[in-house]
Amino acid sequence: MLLVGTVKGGFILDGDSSRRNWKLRGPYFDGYETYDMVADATDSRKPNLYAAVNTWTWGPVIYKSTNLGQSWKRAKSSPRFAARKGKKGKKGALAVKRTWNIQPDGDGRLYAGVEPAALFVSKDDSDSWQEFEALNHHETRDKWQPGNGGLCLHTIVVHPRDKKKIRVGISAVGVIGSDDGGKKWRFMNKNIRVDFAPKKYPEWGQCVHKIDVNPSKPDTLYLQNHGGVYKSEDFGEKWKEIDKGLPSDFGFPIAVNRTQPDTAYVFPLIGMGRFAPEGKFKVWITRNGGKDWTASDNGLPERAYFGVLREALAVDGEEPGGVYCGTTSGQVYYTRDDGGSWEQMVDKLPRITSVSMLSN
Amino acid sequence: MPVKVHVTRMLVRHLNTSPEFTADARDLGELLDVLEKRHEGFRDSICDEAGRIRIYVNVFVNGENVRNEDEPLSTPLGDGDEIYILASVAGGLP
Repeated sequence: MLLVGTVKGGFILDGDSSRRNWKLRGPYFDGYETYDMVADATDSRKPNLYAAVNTWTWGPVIYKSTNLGQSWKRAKSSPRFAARKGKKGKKGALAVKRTWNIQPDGDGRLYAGVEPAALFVSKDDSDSWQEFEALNHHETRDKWQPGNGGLCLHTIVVHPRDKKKIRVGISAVGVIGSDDGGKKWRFMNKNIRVDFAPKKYPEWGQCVHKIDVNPSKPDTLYLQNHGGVYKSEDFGEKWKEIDKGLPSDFGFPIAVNRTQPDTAYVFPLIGMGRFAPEGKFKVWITRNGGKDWTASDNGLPERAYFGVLREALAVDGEEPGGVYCGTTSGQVYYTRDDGGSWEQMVDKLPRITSVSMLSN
Repeated sequence: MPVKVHVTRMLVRHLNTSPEFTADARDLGELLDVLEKRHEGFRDSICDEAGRIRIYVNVFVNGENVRNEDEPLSTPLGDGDEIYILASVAGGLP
């Protein structure tokens, strides 16, 4: 089951076991902007689905389905900043504008990253949400600057084995991490380059775009930055640039194969146009942890001027691996043989903001 | 002091409410609290957590749009007042 968020609602594509045949359902959420749709398969017999729906009128709300998308209900609550003394009703008080990312930790917790940049957690299936005070009101917050998409916390990575270790990505602040479940936070941008400030390697101010991890190699993170692709082998303590051979070091998404932890996928873009270099739509794959990259384009359009957003690249846990790529022009391309060939799954959807796979 | 409230069909659909209510409230903030008790999520749909009326929501009290008042939630209400809660026009959305 592929969950597809778009700027005009959410969709579901139901696939068969061969991954050849897909049936489209939706749109859900009355055509409201949907930035993320995910499955929480903590209980694999009864996965819950969640969607980050950003209504332009009534505010951002979380939707939940307990029957694999047959019906959706507005969650009892959605992430909201707690009232802070002296701030209520004032122009500068924080209010959630969008939810960007929902991340189940597999242990009953549901994390949500929002704009303006902040992190929330729910321990009761989205009936209530709590703020991470030390992060959301960090002493440097007043100096944080937004990226072009807004000041958003768009990436949440919880260590697969030590759930107290959390890493988040904020544009344009960088990677911030906690090792104690969110009580204390520190910047973790060592060796990540900044191309838009006088200091190339500041403590923070990076524009990280996405981070991914393979749970079987839990300390190894892959990161697509505004400029540069990076890898960390110590869960973000330090990073190494691994983009040699790519046609551009700019891009939004990055994904790691779920059975081959040294295999990762990126979609390089031209920084200004946000489409592939020379319009050649290719997914680039490393199979050796970033030592080199090869282009994969068999079946992909030879000339195309769309992009792939940060949440719109997903993998499944099958062997050989499936990779799913949603475009800003409303197509989903996918491979069933780990990049050997690609097919179009669906066309003419609205601009795709997220894709996420729930495997059988 | 019962007032009459009309809400846009978009909100009816979003919250599964009825399109009209009568309620007792002394001001707009109290009215939202009353309606929140009847329909969970009502207040949050009209105001953000800082108490500001959401940018694409208009609230008319006896025909006057109060959203740009300094303290719109303090707008006093009286017996027989008529309140319309509507989404503003947003035709520029792609």
